[in-house]
Amino acid sequence: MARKEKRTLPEEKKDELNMIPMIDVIFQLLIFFMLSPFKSLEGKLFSHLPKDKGLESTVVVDPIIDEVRIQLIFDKSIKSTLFTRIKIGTREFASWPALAGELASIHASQADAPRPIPFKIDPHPKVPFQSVVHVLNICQSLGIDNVEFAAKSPVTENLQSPE
Amino acid sequence: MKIKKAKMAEDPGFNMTPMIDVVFQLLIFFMLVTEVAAMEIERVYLPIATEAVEDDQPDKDRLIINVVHDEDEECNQLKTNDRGRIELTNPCYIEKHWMVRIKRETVNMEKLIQKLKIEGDTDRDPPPSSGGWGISNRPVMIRGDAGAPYKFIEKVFSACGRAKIWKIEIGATKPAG
Repeated sequence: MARKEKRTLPEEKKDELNMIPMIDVIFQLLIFFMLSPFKSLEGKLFSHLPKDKGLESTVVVDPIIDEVRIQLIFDKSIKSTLFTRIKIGTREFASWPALAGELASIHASQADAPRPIPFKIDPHPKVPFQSVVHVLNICQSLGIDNVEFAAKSPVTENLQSPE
Repeated sequence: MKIKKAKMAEDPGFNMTPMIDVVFQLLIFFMLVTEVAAMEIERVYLPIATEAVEDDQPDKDRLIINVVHDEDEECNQLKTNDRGRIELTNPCYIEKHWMVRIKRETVNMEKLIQKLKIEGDTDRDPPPSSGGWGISNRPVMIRGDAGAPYKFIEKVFSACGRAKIWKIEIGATKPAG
């Protein structure tokens, strides 16, 4: 009689879920996304001050009559343009695209001019910075690079002094 | 007689995986933290500009001036948005709520001009007496809050002008999506 062979099944391995790599990866991602917002989407607009004039807001001896002065006037009632009334001379613009259209036509008309007319941004002190950046942004999109800022006489007041 | 074979001791081995994990964690952490610290960045809700160019290769000598709202000051204009972040909903005109900061130090106008003159001197053209303009080629980035009244930004512009710094960049963020 054949001897009955004792068969033993190989020891079954326990299927455990190894959590360690998952935790490692989650921590990696957590640290990455916690810190990465500092860098994301951030860019810059160039706004170089003129080298040969206006550096110290000195008295203008030979004023340039021809300029495109973009006035940004603070008006609490206008929410659509961030409390800002937009004017060039006597003309007023109800939106940023309307201003962009006007600036584009002025810029196009200056294409052959021997001396380019400067575009001067003249914001009211209370106008939000975003409005000024809107105008700069429009100028950059149209290829206008001779942008200046209207300035007061040399500043002497302290930044933290009360109004 | 059958002699049982002595059970071979299992090779304990050297598990490198956790060490590699930890090293990578530290590497990523210090890479990001160092970069943030080096950029002198503070939490500023930058204005949005579609034409903003990516600031991928900033000048190493660039000075960053932050115009920020003091989050410790109670202000009706500060609201928590959907993402749980505090942001300015409307412009805030309370002067003491705004700070001009360089390298995490709050400065007043005099100190700002003084600092800009010192920093500007590190890369300045010859003075007019020597045939130059005396202007500084040191770049400066102004990172102003979108809701900051322009007068604070104007003061920084003026200070740059007085320090004869002309290379100015304005921090902006591209619209999402």
